[in-house]
Amino acid sequence: MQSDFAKGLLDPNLPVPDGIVGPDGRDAGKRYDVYRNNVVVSLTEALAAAYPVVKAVVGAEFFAAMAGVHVRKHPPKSPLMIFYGEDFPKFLTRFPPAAQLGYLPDVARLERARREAYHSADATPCPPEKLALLKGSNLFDARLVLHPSLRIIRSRYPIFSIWRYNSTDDKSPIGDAREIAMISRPADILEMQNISKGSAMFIESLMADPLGVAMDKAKGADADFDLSTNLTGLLSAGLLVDII
Amino acid sequence: MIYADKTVPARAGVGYKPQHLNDILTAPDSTGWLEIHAENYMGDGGPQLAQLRHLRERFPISCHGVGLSIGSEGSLDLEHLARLKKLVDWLNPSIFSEHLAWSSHDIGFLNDLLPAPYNTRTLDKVCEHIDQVQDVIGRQMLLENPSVYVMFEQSTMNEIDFLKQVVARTGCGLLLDVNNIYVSCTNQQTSAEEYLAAFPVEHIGEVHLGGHDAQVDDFGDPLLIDSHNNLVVDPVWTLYETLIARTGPLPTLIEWDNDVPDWPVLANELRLADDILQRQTKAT
Repeated sequence: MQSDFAKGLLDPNLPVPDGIVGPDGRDAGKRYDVYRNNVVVSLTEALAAAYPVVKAVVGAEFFAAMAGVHVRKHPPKSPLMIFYGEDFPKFLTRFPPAAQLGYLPDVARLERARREAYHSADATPCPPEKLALLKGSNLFDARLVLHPSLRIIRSRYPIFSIWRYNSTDDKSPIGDAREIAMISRPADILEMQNISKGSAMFIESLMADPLGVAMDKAKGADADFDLSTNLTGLLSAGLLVDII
Repeated sequence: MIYADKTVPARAGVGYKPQHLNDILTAPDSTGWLEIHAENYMGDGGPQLAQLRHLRERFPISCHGVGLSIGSEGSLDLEHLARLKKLVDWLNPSIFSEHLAWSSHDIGFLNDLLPAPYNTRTLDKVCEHIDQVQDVIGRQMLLENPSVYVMFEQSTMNEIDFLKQVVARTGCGLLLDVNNIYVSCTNQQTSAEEYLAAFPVEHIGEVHLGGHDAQVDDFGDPLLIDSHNNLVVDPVWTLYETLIARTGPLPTLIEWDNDVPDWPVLANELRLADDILQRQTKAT
C-alpha cells in the first residue's frame, strides 16, 4: 500500500493509488494531490533554505522548477532536513537548462559547505602558549588539529566574490580570477574568507600531514607563502583546536 | 534552575522559532513553555544547539518528533532512533511526542505526515514501533492524531478506536491536536463535536492549536489543509474550550511553522489560550 502511495507522490503522471477515496467513496482527486503538493513544496523549501544564493542567481521561478526536478529524483535519505540537498551541487553539473551558468554548481558546493560548517561539532580553541612552546624539529613534526567546521572550496570561478555579490550589500565588481573560499564557524558565527592558493594548500595538508609537510606543500603551491602569518591567522581565528 | 525535568505546566506554550529568541528572553512570562522539533537539533553542534542549551535552563521543553515514521509499514530507522535517544538523553524534555503517520519509504524520506488505513495490520505495526521507541528512549511518548485529506477503503475501524487500542497496548499517551480534529472531520464530512466527545481525554498529555488553509475539493466541498500558517479559527477555539471544560487545564501549544509572524501575533494567541485555561481553572 505505502509503496504505491509513496511513488505517486513523486510522479504526477501516476493515478491516485487504489483504495484511496474521498467521503462516500468518491474519487480522491485533489485530496491526494494535497499530499503530492506538500511533499514537493516542503522539499523545495528545504532546498531553497539551504541554497539561497543559487536561488538568488537563477530567480525564484527557475529555482522552483529546477528544485521540482531535483526533489523527485533525489528525495532525502534521512529525516534531517537540516542536511537535505547533499546531491544538489552534483545535480546542477548535469542540469542542461542551467548549463550556461558554469559557476552555479560551485556556488552550490560553497553553500553546502556553509550549511555543514554551521551544524558541525563545537570545539574549544587551544591556548596560544601551546604553539609558542613548539620549537625546532618539534615544530615541524607537530600535528595541528583544526576546528571541525573548517571547509575549503576551490573553484575555477571567482566564487567568493559571486557569493558576496549575491548575499551581501557589498556590490564590488566581480573579477575573472579563480578564488578559494575558506569557511569556518569557530564560535556562533559563520565566517568566510577569500584565501590564497598557499593558505588553501596549507590547511588541506594540515588535515592529514604534520606541520613541516604542510608548510613544504604550501610553499610549493605559492612561493610567497608565509608560515608565521598563516599560523597566527588560524590561532587568532580560533581555528586551531589542539597541537599533538 | 533546570526546568527540563519538570512537568510542562498546564499553560499555553509556543513552538520555538530562532527569530523569536530575543522576544522570548525579554518577556519570558509570555509563554509557559517551549516546544522544539527534534530533527532541527540533531546536528553535531553550532548555534542552534547552543540556543537550546540556553533555553532549557529557562523554560520547560516539550520535544516533538517529525521524522520517526511511526505509521510506516516497514521498520523504524534505527540510526534515526539512536539520534533521537542522544537528543532526549541530554535535553531531558518533560514531554516527547510523535505522529500517527508515516514519512519514510524505500524511495526516501518524504517530509510529510502521510496517512495509513485504520486496520489490525497498521495497528500491530504502530504498536510495535511505539514499544520500540519507548524502550529506546526510556520514557513514555505521546501520539498525535493526524490531519487527513483522504480515506482508505482498507480501514476497518475509526480513528478513536484505533487510538484507544494503541494506548491500551503500548501505554503511550496522546497529544490531541484540536485543529487536526477540525481539519479531518471537515474533510471527512463528519462531526468534530462527536469526535471530541468520544476521545479518550484521560490520556491527553498535551494539546496543539494551529491554523489551516481552506480550499475546495473536486466536488466543491471544503478541503482544509493543515498548514500551520495562520491564526487559530473560532470553531477550533470553541472545540478547545469544550475540551478544557471537560478535562481541566492541559499544556496547550500554539503551533505556527510556516509564514511565521512577528512575536506579538503569537503572544496574542498564547494569551487567548491562557484565558480559556484560566476560566476553566476558576470554574473547576
